[in-house]
Amino acid sequence: MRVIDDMTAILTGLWTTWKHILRRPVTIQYPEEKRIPSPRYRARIILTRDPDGGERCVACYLCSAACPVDCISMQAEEGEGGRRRAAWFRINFSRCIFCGFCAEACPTMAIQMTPDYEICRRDVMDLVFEKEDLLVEHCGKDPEYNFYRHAGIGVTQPRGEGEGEKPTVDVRGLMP
Amino acid sequence: MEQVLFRHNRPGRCVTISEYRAGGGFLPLEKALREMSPDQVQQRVIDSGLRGRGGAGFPTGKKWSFVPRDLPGPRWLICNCDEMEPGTYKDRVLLEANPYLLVEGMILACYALGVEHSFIFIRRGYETAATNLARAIAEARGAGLLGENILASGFSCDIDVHLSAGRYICGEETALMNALEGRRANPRAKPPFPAIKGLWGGATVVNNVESLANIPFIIAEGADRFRSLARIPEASGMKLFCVSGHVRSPGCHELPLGIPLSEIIDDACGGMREGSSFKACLPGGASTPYFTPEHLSVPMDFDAVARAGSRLGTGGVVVFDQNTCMVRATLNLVRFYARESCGWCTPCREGLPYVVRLLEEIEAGRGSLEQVALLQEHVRLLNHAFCALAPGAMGPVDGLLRHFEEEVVEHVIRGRCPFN
Amino acid sequence: MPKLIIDDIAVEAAEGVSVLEAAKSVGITIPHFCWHPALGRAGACRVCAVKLLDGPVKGIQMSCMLPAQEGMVVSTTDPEAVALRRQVIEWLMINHPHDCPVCDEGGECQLQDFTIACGHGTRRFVGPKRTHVNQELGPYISHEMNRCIQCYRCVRFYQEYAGGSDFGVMGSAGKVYYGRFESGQLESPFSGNLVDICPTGVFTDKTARFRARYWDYDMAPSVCPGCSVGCNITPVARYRELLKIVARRNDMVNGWFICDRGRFAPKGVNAPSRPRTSLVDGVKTGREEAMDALLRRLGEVAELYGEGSIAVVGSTRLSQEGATLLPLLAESISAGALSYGLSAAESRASSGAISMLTLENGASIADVENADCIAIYESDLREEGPMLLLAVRQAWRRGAPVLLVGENSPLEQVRGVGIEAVQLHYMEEAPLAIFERPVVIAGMRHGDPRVMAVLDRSGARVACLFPGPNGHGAALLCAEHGGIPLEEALAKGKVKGLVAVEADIPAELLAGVPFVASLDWRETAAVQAASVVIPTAAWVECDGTYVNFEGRAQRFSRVMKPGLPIKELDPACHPPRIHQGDPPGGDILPSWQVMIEMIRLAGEKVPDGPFSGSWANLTSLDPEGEGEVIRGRCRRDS
Repeated sequence: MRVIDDMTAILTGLWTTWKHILRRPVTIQYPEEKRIPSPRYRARIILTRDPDGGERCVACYLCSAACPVDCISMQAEEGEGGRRRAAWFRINFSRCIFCGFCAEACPTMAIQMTPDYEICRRDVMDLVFEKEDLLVEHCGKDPEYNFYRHAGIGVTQPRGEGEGEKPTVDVRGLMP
Repeated sequence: MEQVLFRHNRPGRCVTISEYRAGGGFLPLEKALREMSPDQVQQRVIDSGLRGRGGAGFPTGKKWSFVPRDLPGPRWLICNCDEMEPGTYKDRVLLEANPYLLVEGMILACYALGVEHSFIFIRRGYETAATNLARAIAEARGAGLLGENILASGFSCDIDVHLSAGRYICGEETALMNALEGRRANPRAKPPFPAIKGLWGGATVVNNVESLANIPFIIAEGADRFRSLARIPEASGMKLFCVSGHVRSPGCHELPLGIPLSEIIDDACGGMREGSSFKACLPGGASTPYFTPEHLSVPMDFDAVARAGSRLGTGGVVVFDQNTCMVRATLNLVRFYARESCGWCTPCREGLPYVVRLLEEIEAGRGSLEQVALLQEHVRLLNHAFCALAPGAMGPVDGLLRHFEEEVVEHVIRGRCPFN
Repeated sequence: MPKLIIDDIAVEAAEGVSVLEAAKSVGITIPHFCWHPALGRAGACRVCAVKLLDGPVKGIQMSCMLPAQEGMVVSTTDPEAVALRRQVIEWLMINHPHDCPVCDEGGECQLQDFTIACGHGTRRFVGPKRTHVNQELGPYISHEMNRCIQCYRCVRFYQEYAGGSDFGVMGSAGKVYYGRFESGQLESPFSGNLVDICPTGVFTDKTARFRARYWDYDMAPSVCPGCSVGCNITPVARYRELLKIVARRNDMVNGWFICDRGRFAPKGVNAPSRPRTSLVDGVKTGREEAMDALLRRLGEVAELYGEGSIAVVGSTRLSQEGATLLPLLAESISAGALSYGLSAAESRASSGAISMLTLENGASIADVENADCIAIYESDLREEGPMLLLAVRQAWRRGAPVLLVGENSPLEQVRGVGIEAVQLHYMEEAPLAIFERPVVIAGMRHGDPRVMAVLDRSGARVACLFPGPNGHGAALLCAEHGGIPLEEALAKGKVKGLVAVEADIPAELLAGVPFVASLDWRETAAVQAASVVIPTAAWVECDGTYVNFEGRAQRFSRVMKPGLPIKELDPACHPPRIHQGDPPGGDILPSWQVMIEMIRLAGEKVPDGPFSGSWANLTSLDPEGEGEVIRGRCRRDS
């Protein structure tokens, strides 16, 4: 009968509601309690160092090319020992959409994303991070990779002495 | 057995010019200059069916005929004595025993082609042969057989001996011409062919020592007689087979073309040495695919060997016994070619070291079946190099994969060389 | 004109071209490294493999080595060809270093492009890479031999095309090395082209090392202002700074290459000392105020010293737009003397040249390359037109004898490109009549102006090397409007007021002039002596036209907006953290626009644009075209 059907509907709804009264809510009381995102969560961007302490970023411009919103800009320069580094490096976090394309594009594992999402600022110009704000002292997610060990240009080890390299060719030698 | 090239040989020393002339030497030259025209000489060589003895087996007379009679400008004849093919030493043996055959053959070839100046390009290591040749040329000049107005016939030509300053690639005819001109010994693109545009832009013919040394006999005795010396009707003439490897008495023997491989090994070289049984051989120098026991009855002639899946090449027979690891043998051979690449084109310069690497991995037991498949692909793709060095280098690899695939796979499966 | 089919497209190829070029003509780019349109084929890299399915040739062939023939059926997509190309790239990648991120060629690298095009991906070769030691080749070119793929382009260009002998190839097999036989700087005046032709990053521009990537470049078609040859170039700018110059193809002018002077010599565009704001007596003002002050002061000079005491001086580096407006400006301020900055000798030679040159007897660089005899008259081409030396060499390679006439034609100039030349004293000694296509290259700094009459009668084509990028245009205007040599304009002491528009006037000549005004982008002596300075746009910062030595008017386009380079804005080389609409130091107009403004302020009729009247046909020139030849216009008009 209609009345019984309607009553059932109401009581089912009430029962669903009452069921949840005794359940634990999922709300986290931020900022007293904070959710820790997984390490792969894409938030604040950092520039990491290699295991030997040097800067990983070689200012190759790949991250700025990959960035879909053009929020990364930089200028490369030559550093000591023939290293290539960024003279200045700027990320405009008010534009950044935290997509992670830059971290995907980076060939030296320099630019990485961290789970630190708490980067609110009151003044929008404070959201423009320079290299000093981005460079960290640790290796981020990759504790082992040093690009210069594989590039063969003689920065971290003399030419021809790297892993996977033959000794340099002696042009004047006559032996095969 | 009748000998064409070794008939004047004296045991343990080089023959002298008077001994050579006493045995009939330089009479063919006289006959040609007095009785035959250059076209007739060339035709006789064509009719004889003489094929190039330097490895390619191209009919010599036909190569000569590619030079147009009416082409203006200087013409050149080059004798390629840059014998560097591993397993081949016949030219050295010939020139250390009798340099006069080559000198006479070259003068006859110059006469047929209309060449006034010819070169012998000889590898740096053949000092005795070069000394013999220099002496032979000087003696011939002194006897009026070389130089201006030879034998009062009006024909003049001269020969220069040039010692190579380069390596294996100088044996390639266009690289040889570059080396003679004083440039880097990279091969040239063909066309234009040397017969039209070769040394210093002029018409050039490049022939092997043995090919030219056969010419006097052909002129003296005729084309049919030369043909009849071979064992089978489709072949003509004799060949210097230089045998090395696990035979009882390795050496260089002049034998008829078309002789079965087994006869070369058993009769001429005394069979396999003590404790060795025939496993494989290179029929014609290091750039030819292997022959196995099933090929022992193959007549050793250009076409017959080609039909059997290999190449007669230079006739340098290298024999391997049952204790030879074919992978290691192939690796040894390809290492040579990788070192000798001139560095011009990518497949040879980079592809050959890749093949060396693959064979090294397989021999060390670290190989995989994918690498074996990659090796097979390289055999196919290295045909597209700039000259014939890279395709030649893959000859033994081709033989390895065709006839000894089980051995290769055994390396992979066992994780080590089974012959260690 | 053989007809063939490439990838199901019917192609009618030009006579004698290869299959690769025939494919290019219908938009199919077959990957290649060693083939180059100026250097020809080599057959070394083996990447351009195609499969011939039918016709006179069959099977896998290298498309750059195979002449296109009637009836060929070519497939670039056949699996066998694709597999071979992919394998060749894999072979090249065996030894190629892992340094794309730090390599300047990245983004404009032919190896990168063709590696992707051929479908090579993961490295499966197990083994070490060969390495090399680099050489110091000088301050302009950086050497990184690890990256070499042995295409032999560099040695073919340097030795065969440019005639150099200090650089070449050493070694064999995998140890092939391209470098100088003895350490030191590269000697050829065309060594910079190694940067353009190397398909990988072995030779890169050291002056622009680590500056920017190809996808960020500001580029536009432009013309080199180094000499009167007018080679087509592409300047590269980024962040308001001129980074480097790259050659641009023009078959009628410079072919594929440019000289080192045009490529590497400092251009002055980035100089911190450039005039950027208008100055009146050393005080910064706006442009309007400066122009007002200028006209006022000129009026004062005219009152004090009378008519004819004002001179207007241009130069041969002033664009043709500015040069055509110069006489109008002179008229508007009642100037008594008009000069284009030429010396007396240059003036005589230039006027003789433009009276002699016609459309028929002028030689382009293409004419020089195809000549069967070349005479170089009283000229050092290394100074007056380096790219002509390269063209002379190509003619010499084909058998043309080279004659050096006069004592100012040094033998060293042709030795540097590997040419053996004959030296003569007088132009009459040159046996030009026995040749079919003789060309005379005449210098304009020395020499007897009467030689122009000799050249006119000789039947040879003549290339007159006017001074400066717009020397020919300036000479035409000199003739039209009665321009006089610089010393004549200034030496008599009559001039009391001087307006210098992009003029290079020696300080001694300026000393006696009480009032100097200068419109320029370089800090010249005139700018330093000027009471009124108005900055103008440099040649990369505006559109303009140069008329080159053969009378070819070529348009150059703006590459970058004027403004202080970002590098100059902050001591830490940082870009500013402020919002700003216009770039600082960017309120600069091209000189011709400033001149039009001045004409308007002077109350005279303002022309419609820079090119009016008889010059109107230059208004719409295509910067990417071959220019328009305007020589002989004065002979035609008269």
